[in-house]
This record gives sequence, C-alpha cells and structure tokens, in this order.
Amino acid sequence: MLLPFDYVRARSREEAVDLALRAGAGGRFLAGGTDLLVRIHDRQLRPKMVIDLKGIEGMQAINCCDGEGLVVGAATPLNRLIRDEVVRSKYGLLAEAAHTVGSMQIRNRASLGGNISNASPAADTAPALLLYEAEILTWGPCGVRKIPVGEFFKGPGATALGEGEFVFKVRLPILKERSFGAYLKLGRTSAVDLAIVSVAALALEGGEVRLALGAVAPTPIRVKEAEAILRNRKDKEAIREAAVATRRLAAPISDIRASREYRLEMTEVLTARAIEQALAGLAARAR
Amino acid sequence: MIHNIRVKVNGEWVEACVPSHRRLLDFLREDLDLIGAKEGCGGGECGACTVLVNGEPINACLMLAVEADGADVLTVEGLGYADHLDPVQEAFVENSALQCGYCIPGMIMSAKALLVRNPSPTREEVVEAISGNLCRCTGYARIVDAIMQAAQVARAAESSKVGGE
Ligand SMILES: Cc1cc2nc3c(=O)[nH]c(=O)nc-3n(C[C@H](O)[C@H](O)[C@H](O)COP(=O)(O)OP(=O)(O)OC[C@H]3O[C@@H](n4cnc5c(N)ncnc54)[C@H](O)[C@@H]3O)c2cc1C
Ligand code: FES
Ligand code: FES
Repeated sequence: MLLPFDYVRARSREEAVDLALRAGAGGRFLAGGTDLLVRIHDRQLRPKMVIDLKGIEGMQAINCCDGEGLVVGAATPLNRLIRDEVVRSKYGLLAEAAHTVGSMQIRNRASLGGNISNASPAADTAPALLLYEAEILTWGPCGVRKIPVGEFFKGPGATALGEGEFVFKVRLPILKERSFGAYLKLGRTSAVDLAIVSVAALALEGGEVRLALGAVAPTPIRVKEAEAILRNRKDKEAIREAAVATRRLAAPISDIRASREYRLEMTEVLTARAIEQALAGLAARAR
Repeated sequence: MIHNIRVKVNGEWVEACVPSHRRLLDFLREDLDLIGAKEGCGGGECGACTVLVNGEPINACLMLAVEADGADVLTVEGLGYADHLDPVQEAFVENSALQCGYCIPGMIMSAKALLVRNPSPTREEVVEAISGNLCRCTGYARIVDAIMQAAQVARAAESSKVGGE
C-alpha cells in the first residue's frame, strides 16, 4: 500500500512543466518508478502529485548517428538500451554499466534519465556518461537547456535541474576513434546491490585513456589528472601511477556498505584493473 | 484521483476504476483476486511480485495500476492451471524446486520470460535471469535445474512439431 497521491500522465513537455510548476514542492516526475515508488513506499517521500513523463513523444526513443551521435530519450528503460545493437557496438561501456543495475525486473523499468536524476554518487550509468562526455538535454520553463554531464551532478541527490525542469534526452557525441571500455563495480553481492566503488575506463585508439569513478565522492567524478599520466605511457608502471593518483582524487565516506579506507584501497586496485582491461580490449579490437 | 483503466490480464480485457496510488500488485491481488504474485519486500529487492507486462518481467510492487492501462499483463495464474501446467511449472514440480513456495510464482514468471526470449540459455544466463528473485529456502540449485529442464523440454516439443509437419 502506498499513501495517496494524484497521478497524471503528461502528454507533452509543456504540460509536464506546467504540472510540475503548479505542484511545486509536492510534485515529482515519474519515469520507471524503481526509485520513486520505493521512496514513497518507505515514506521518505510524500508527493501530492506524480507526473509521468513516459507519454511524452521522444522520451523512450533511441536515435543514432545522424551527425548528432547517440540520442537517448530520458525515460528509455535500461534493458532497451542494453539490447540496442548500436549502443552495444559503439557505446559498449554504457551498455555494460547499465547491465550492472539492479535485476532484470528493475532494468525493464529503470530509465537512464531516472538513474542520473537521482544523483546518487553510485548511479551506475554516470561514470560511462562522463567518459563519453554526454550532454544532458533538459526541458523546463525556458525551453531547452544543454548541460554537460560533468556539470549536471551537484552533490548527493542534487542536480543542476531547476524548478519544473526535467531531463528530456541524453546525447552522447560521436566517437570518431575506435574505443574500448571497462566498467568494474564492486558490490556486496554480484547482483541487486549498489556499488561500494565503481571504476570506468575508456581507451581510445588515439592514445587517450579516460577514467571515472562512482561511489567514492559526493558525485560521480572524472579524474583527468590520473588520465594525463597515461597520455604517452601505458606500461605497468604508468598504470600503477595512474591508479595511485586516482586514489588521491577520491574522497569517499564510510557508511553501512564499506569504510572509507576500504573504498580508497579498492579504488586503486579496480582502477589498475579497469585500465588494463580497456587497453587489452582495444588492442584486441585493433587486430 | 480515480482512473478508469483497461488492462489485458491473462488474456482477458479487464476494465476497472483505480485510485492513482494503487500499485499493480494490489490491483491484481485485491481487486482481481489473483494472489499468485506475492509481496515480499515491497521495494524491488525480492522479486516475489514478478509478473510479465508486455512480455517483460517487472516488479508489480513498483508499478502503478494506472501505468498498466492498455498493457498485457501475465501472472502465474495465466500460465497454466492444475491439470494443464506450463512446461516451466511442470519442471519445477518434477525437480522439487520449491519448499515454502513463496518465491515460486515470481521465479516462474522470470523463467518464462527468459525462455521466450532465449530458448537455449546457459546455466549462467538462467542465474542472471533470476538474480532479482530471492529464495530463502531452496538454495537455487534445483530451481536452475528446473529451468534448464523446462528449456530442454520446450525445445524438444518445438523440434518434434516442426519434424511432424
Ligand atoms: C532493488 C533495486 C536495485 C537497484 N540497483 C541499482 C543499481 O545497481 N545501480 C543503480 O545505479 N541504481 C540502482 N537502483 C536505483 C534505481 O533503480 C535506478 O537509479 C534507476 O535508473 C532509476 O530510474 P527510474 O526511471 O526508475 O527512476 P524513477 O524512480 O522514476 O525516478 C527517480 C528520481 O528521478 C526523478 N526523475 C525521473 N526521471 C526524470 C527525468 N527524466 N527528469 C528529471 N527527473 C526525473 C524522479 O522524480 C525521482 O526523484 C536500484 C533500485 C532498486 C529498487
Ligand atoms: S515485493 Fe516486489 S520485489 Fe519484493
Ligand atoms: S521456496 Fe521458500 S522462498 Fe523460495
């Protein structure tokens, strides 16, 4: 049983914004509901109005490769993303990361937009979006805004979204070079658990290696200082140095899942592993 | 707020009035008396409430009834009945893949969805498909055996159908 609220399925972007502005603090957007309905059930949230975004045109569409890169409607369920051929072949790291979310049932409902709008430091799709340098397309009272994903997360549970504004699409720019990514997520169990630490690495053919972390800072973070170490060297020593640098850039807390010390240690270990896997995958692809 | 919805439940269209906050799980269990899907955690963790919506397994505790308007919902009751079980149900019986049974309707719906999508799963794929279904009794081994056997039986039936034509 849930406490009562009103549900409205918005038919357009404009209507969603209108409803949200009118509902004010009592309004909540709904996509897959795998986070919102849990919070309502647990009585952490008591919204007066739940505004369903799934009926808005384009909210569940995946489009690719007409010069824009990959454009994903924010309410697209993760399983649809994971099964999409283009996503798998060109943006494999995103598919891999999305695949680690919850369970089959959760992924059939959980959306990409909901995953980032939660702004959980452990949101599994966030490190991949950081590495693909995604752009978050929002719709609000003043129309469209384009926010680089690096500026979208403001802290645990906080985003750059303003009043009445929602995520409409997520755009991943075209990657001209061949690439290979690795996403390593450490949870207490191998499924249906949030990350204690997660590390994403994306190796590009031109020599760049990109690195991002989840669950070890107030937001998911990209660690460019560690990336710089790998710019011209990719030997064992460089990988170790990058892993140590990554550990320095992490700022985890202790909580019920793990202590700060354990998180730091695992950040270093998983970073080295993720870099190695990404480089090995890229080398195999080039062959 | 009250919504008039039409949902196809186990092959039959049902029309009903539901309040906004009614979960699909409560709609099925209390309004339609389909008590196969269970409430374990109410929070997406246990899978006891798993039903198929448009062929995909979902947690009925995390979906509103009004969101199912126009959808095709399949519960364990729609899969088979006592003297006409689905091969998945039969395989669970044959393998004694249950003890208290609380998790089983959800488990079977996850298994069914897997086999429709992938008629020849590996053991790993079976484990992955049911990773959102907790069982506190069986230790899972027999459940996985049962699903592997159901897959085999379904494949054999399919190939004999093709061969016989
Ligand atoms: C059992 C379980 C396991 C989970 N495991 C994981 C996991 O492993 N990794 C992980 O990252 N997450 C996990 N989650 C959390 C959650 O499922 C995901 O974050 C999911 O992607 C949320 O998407 P949703 O569409 O269901 O969001 P919803 O519940 O619909 O919404 C989540 C929040 O974002 C807002 N919102 C939704 N869409 C938009 C939008 N387009 N614009 C603006 N605001 C919006 C809502 O108002 C709400 O506050 C788990 C949840 C459960 C219940
Ligand atoms: S009752 Fe729905 S997942 Fe536990
Ligand atoms: S048989 Fe008891 S929970 Fe699975």
